Amino acid sequence: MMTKRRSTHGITFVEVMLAFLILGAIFLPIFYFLTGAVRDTERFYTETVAISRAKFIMDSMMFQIPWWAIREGNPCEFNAYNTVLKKTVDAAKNLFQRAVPKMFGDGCLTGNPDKYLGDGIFVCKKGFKYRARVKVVDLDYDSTSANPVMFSIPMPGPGSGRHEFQINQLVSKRDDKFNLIKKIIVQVKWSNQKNKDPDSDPYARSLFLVGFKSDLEG
Amino acid sequence: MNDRNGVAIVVVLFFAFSIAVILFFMAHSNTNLAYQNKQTLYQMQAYYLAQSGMQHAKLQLRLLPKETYEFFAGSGSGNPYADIDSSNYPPTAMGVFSKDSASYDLFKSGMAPDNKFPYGGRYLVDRFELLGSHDRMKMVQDGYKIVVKAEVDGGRGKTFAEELSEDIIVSRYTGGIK
Repeated sequence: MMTKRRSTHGITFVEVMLAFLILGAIFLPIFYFLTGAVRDTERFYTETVAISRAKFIMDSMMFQIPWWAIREGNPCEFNAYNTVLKKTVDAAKNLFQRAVPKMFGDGCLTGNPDKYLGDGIFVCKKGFKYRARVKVVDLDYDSTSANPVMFSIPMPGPGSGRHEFQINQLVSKRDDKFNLIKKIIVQVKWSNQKNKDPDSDPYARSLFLVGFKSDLEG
Repeated sequence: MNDRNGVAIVVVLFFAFSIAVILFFMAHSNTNLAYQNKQTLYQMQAYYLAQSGMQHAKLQLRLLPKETYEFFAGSGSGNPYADIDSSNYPPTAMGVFSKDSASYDLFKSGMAPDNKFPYGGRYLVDRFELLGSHDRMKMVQDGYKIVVKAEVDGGRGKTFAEELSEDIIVSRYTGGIK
């Protein structure tokens, strides 16, 4: 009796099952990876927004806002009242009105149009929340009198020593302080979860910028 | 023998290899992005420290224009502003990156003491030269070249450096700077 011979062309069932198994093994980490990649992209996006905001704040403080208008504190204060001229400087007031809310977002207003706080919260276009704060420390003569910043210059001629000057020998008091340099620390803190206040997120991330602003206006 | 036996597995393995290569490069580009963000931040910090050093030098020049000129006029050589080095004075000495720096936080009370910094770093006046003087008109002015260097300690032995150079004209008797 003749038996019908099975065709050996094509692929076997075992091969198909193996192929499915391998494809499954490949696609599982791919899906995991793609989800992670989307998360990472958002993480880099938030970090870039934070860096850009910190730069904007530090640039404004180092190069735009007058030295005398930045008052010590955590958060610092921007005050348009000039204690030497004994009047509110309109140019400073207008600058604060336009720039400070852009720097810090909500929370920088004090109710007094001459004064703003270096603190606030803002939301980016994608819905992530960021807090920005600036701390300013006066490196004045009295608070650093144990080890103040000194200004010295060598006298001409070998072995002639140096002229040394303390801050209080070089400037008069302003706001009850002999001061020439302010330490500025900017912090931007954000949550990688949309619409979450970084203050209430234990996994919130932060970045900092530090600068020293000298009184070049006096 | 059928010569097409096992072809599906070969195709799938080739496909798997291709996907693995693509994934590797995607992961690599993500890692690069994280690294670049960190680089950008530290480099930016070095830039602001260099600007701080430049302002410090300008401040001293504004306060001591005559003394600075007299140093050069008395055939003084070298850098008269070598003393402007943030690590020389405790209020500006940022030191090196430490665990304290990592826990620094302005939003938590007690985590941002006045004498601490979130970074380690330093600025200094590297070169200070008299370029020329001008005293034939009412204003007596001196021109100087200032070169400031700054570096930031990023931890794990990584440092980020920045250099700034500016030519400045100062009024010898009033300290007015241009």
